[in-house]
Amino acid sequence: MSRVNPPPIAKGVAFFLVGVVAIHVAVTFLWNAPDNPIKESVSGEVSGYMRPFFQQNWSLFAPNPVNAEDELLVRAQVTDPQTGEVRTTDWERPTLMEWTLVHHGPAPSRASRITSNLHRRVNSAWNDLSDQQQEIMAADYLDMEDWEPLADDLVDAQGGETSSRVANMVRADRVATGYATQFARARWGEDVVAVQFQLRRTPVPRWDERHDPPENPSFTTREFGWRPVLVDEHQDEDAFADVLQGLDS
Amino acid sequence: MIGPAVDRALDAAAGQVARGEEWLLGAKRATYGVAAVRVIFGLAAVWFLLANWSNRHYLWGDAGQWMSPLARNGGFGWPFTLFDGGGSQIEVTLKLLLVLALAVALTLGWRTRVVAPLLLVCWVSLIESNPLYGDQSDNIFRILLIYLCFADLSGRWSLDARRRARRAAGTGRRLLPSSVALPARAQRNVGLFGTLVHNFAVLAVAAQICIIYVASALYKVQGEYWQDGTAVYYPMQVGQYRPWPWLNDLLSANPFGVLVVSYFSVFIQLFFPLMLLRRSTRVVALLGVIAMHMGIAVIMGLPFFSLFIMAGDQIFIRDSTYAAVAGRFRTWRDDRRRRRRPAPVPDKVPALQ
Repeated sequence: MSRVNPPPIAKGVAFFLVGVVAIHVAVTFLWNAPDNPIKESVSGEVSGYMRPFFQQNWSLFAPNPVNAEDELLVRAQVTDPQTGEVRTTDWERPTLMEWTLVHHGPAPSRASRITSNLHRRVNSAWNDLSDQQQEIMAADYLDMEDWEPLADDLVDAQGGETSSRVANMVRADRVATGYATQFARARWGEDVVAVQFQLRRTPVPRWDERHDPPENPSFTTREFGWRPVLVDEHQDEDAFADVLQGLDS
Repeated sequence: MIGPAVDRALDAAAGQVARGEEWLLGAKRATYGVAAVRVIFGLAAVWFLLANWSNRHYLWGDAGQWMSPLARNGGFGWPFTLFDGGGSQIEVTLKLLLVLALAVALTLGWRTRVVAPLLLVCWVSLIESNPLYGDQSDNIFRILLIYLCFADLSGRWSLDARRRARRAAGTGRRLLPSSVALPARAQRNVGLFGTLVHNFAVLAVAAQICIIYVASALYKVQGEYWQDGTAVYYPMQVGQYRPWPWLNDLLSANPFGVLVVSYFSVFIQLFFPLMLLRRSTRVVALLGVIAMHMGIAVIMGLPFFSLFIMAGDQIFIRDSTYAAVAGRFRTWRDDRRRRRRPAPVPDKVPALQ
């Protein structure tokens, strides 16, 4: 081993950096460790330091792995341009269309995950709501004027206090409606007057039932009411429709 | 009695400190490992961009404006906002070409001191601008690249290294006249500081990788399915993780295989740092996690997740191992060349050897 004789200043800097890196590693470990009393007592400081640059989460497929398919379903009310009659379409399954990117794809595009992640976001916002608030979300809002004050109704239902769960739900509802609108217009044309989305969760058969799965795969659905079409002013609808067509073929 | 024992303990401690100093200041460590991380990161980033190219407007452009009610930027401020708020088709295409060029430059090891931080800014801007598709591979890429910006990424297998070697041999050209010449002592101190920071970057990468594996294992051991050895069966049934359905069905049909793979995943992760301590078990640990990630990449269709983490594992392979493998490869290649060409006529052997 070739011995170097570093100047004292170099040793001093090295000593200081040992401390800095040791603290950084200790905080990183605390952030990642399962819940424990120390983590609880300093959680504010730890997350203040770790976010956003060192944010991470390694509870992947743990404690238990993904064991259900999370899908978003969309249908629409469409006016017939000739007769002016409004018909309701069948439910379509965009998540399954996205998964065609996974099928036989050695490197699936991230576009394969959009709606199942949207499902999870809407679902977790919904789970935080009270029964009364869930009823409000399940109701139909066909006009913008009725739909826009939805946040006020949700706030009233929890005694007049605003909270992040209302904000999360309203945001999730808006973004899902925006997606459903784009999907519906790409699918059924300009004459869409209202859209509806639904969360479907289909558990995979349990390990011990895998040879003899239940007859009709039992899925749970979470239905939201009708919503008016919502198009962002900067939305490129043609590019969206192109991608959807690509998924469909 | 006690005096000599204390002396011996102090001597031992002083010896450890000296060895620590030598490790930190003596030379740049893991130079090949760091170069391997650089090449894998660069190639994976290029592949990622190509795999998402046809959906770029949907993911990052104005075709995704329906996402605008959601916060788009994951808490990152300027300058990590390059892709924030979407963009027209031409704008997104040009920006992505820029990111692609940076990823190619990183792979080749061209001006890495500048390219690596630029790619970090562009990549975080790109990934964080869409709130609906992220996974943990994004975090590992970002965190390791932050650390690696402090390391000497182009010490080996790079255009930078080739340029430096040429200049040292006096055959290289300089675009700019040589920068201000520092006095020899100052130059040596700058070099020493570079070595120190490089080695801490290596340590930070190593610690981060160990934390990932141990934390993953600690979460898994809490789960019922990991305990009863059926865990890997479940995700393989979900459409999102079934690129080759026949392969998934083949694997999940075998109870013994499902059990072994489930337990293996937990054990290899939990004991990863301990297995690094001895050379023999280190080889097992590295081959083990690489096997696990190959499985995730192929069977579950998550190649980028696997590649980004596998890149970090390269840091644990020693320079002497890389040098030996590279040397063996060079001999093999030279042998083949010599055999393919007819034996050179003696008087035509170049004088310069």
